[in-house]
Amino acid sequence: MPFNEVNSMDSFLALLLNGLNSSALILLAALGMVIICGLMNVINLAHGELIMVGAYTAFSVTQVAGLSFAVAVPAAFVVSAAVGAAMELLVIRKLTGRPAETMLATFGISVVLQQVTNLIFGAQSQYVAIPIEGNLSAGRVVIPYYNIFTILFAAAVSAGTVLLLKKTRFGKRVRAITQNRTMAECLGINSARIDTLTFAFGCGLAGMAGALAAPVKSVSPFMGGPYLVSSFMTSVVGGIASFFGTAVGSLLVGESTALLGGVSNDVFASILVFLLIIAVIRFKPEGLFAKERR
Amino acid sequence: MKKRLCILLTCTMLLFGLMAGCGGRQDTAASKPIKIGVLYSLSGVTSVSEKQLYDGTKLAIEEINRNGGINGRKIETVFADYASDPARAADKARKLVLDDKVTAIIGTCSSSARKAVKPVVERYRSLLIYPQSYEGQEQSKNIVYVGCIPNQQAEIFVNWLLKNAGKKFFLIGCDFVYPKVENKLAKTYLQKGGGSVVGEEYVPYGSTDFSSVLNKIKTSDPDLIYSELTGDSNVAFYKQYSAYGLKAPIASLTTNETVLKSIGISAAKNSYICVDYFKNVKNPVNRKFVETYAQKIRDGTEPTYAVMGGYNGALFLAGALKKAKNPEDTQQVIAAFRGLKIDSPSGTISIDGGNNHTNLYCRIGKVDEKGEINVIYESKNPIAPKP
Repeated sequence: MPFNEVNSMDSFLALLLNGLNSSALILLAALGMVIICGLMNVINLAHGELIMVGAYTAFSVTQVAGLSFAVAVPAAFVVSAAVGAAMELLVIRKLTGRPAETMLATFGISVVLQQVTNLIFGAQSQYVAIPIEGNLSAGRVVIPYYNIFTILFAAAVSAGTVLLLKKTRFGKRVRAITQNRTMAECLGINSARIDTLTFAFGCGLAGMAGALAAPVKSVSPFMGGPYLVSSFMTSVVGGIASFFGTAVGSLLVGESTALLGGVSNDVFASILVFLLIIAVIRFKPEGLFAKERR
Repeated sequence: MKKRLCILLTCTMLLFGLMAGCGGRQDTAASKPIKIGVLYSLSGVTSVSEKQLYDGTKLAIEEINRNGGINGRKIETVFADYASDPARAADKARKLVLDDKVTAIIGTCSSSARKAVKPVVERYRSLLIYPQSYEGQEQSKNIVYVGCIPNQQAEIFVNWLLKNAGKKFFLIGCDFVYPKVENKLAKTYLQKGGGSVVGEEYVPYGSTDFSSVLNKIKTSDPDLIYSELTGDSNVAFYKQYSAYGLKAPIASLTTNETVLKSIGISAAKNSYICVDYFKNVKNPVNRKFVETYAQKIRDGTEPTYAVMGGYNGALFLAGALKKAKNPEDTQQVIAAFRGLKIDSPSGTISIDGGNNHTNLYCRIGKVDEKGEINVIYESKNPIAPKP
């Protein structure tokens, strides 16, 4: 068996912290997908490409325009949200209630986005400088400062999103539509407008995830695939439309990949994680923390 | 004014026509272009590598045609994009041979695409020029291999590293055929040379999360990392490796000038690369090539060993077409490859007489503080291929 033991508490702790960092990126990526899916019942297969758009925005802002990374993150949100709004208005809206066609359409959009990026920037990957250099080390455990930033940022964005949905008028409407669209419409909520805004918001979150990943990952036209897979896994495990579930799901996916990768190898770990997820949806088809839906 | 120009042009054309008529017995065949197939993916996952091969081939053919073509006949290319799909590569190759009736095909990038095209060119007795470096262990009389193979690259690299960089190796690659074969070979070279392997890891193709691998590297404390990571995984690895503050140098068989740009200087400096060609190779042919590249390919990329593979492949093919009595007879063209020599930006290189592979230089580069690759080792002569 491809297993080796983790030889100390130190390296176990290091694995745990690494896993937390992966979880943070997965959480950011998955959050947008879960919101969109929960509200509109749309599986957006172009989600990975919206992450890619965010990463390219970060590249354009920092390397081409020469501005700071602090500008790049909100810019990535705005650009991806704009692409998302356009997608919703031009395509998704016309396909309401036809999930298979919607999936196919979003897949088509993902290919278009890849190739357009390929045409503009070329197939080679682009450089984004790491904004916070250096690392914190204690014994064998090393955490780059940037990882700590990523974890805190993901936590803050998730908290912000929950607040937005629980405390604002907009959020209340979103939740109302999520629970019962027809009833909400009867009560005078403009569901079309809320759909566009929510879709744009979810895509904007994906864009931020892309900007955050850009300095430590590769920025290329075809980078979106793995993000789509991990976001999708997370939302399936956590239960579509449950934020708490998304948080737990991303932790589960991130940590189990890191820990299993630590004791065996990454290829084996990815197989095990998939098996785990299949087991979860076999016994809890709605995900671990599914909300009751009417 | 315009009229005079017209007359002048007509006269010139008549003159050329006359000359062509004098030169050959069949004047139509002698002025007809020679058709070759160009088979690369400009879309899909391998398009990053294949765009480089494509650019190299395109530059070479433009140059050949500018300089008078093949004994006065132009080369006409028929391009086919197989979208990174080996099965489609085989289909497109069949179409190029049977419908477009090309004399030879230059193309494919991954070993799986080459292996899919191999039975096609063998069955129709056609010719494939394969421009990419690969893991060796293959021969075909219908394929000419222009890129380097392990005995021209990895074997020399491992021994050089043992002498100059350290004994304890950590092997890493993406989980597919090429890295596994290369690492297996690296282990035998290490055993012979007195080195050791302190770790060996593979990540899923395209994976960009190296947290657990980096942890293992830290625990096993190697002198250097020996890598065949490719594409997005490769870029992400260098970046995260440096973010974790790890110091042992990375030695790679796959990194190139364009990839270095996306990794960034701070993460790439002090790493080693071993290939047959670097942009910074010093000779007049290369100086001119680098200039041409900068003028013609304006997309922020640099000339790399893959560009050079595509370029050399087309130069060799042109040489063989010139040497063959009838350049449309593929069998004569294949025979003309034996011992064929060209002056390439990577030096004077030639096709081996027996195994259809190429005698190539081996070069090792180290990335300096400015992100440039300094060539710190160069084999005295081209190294004979042992596939």
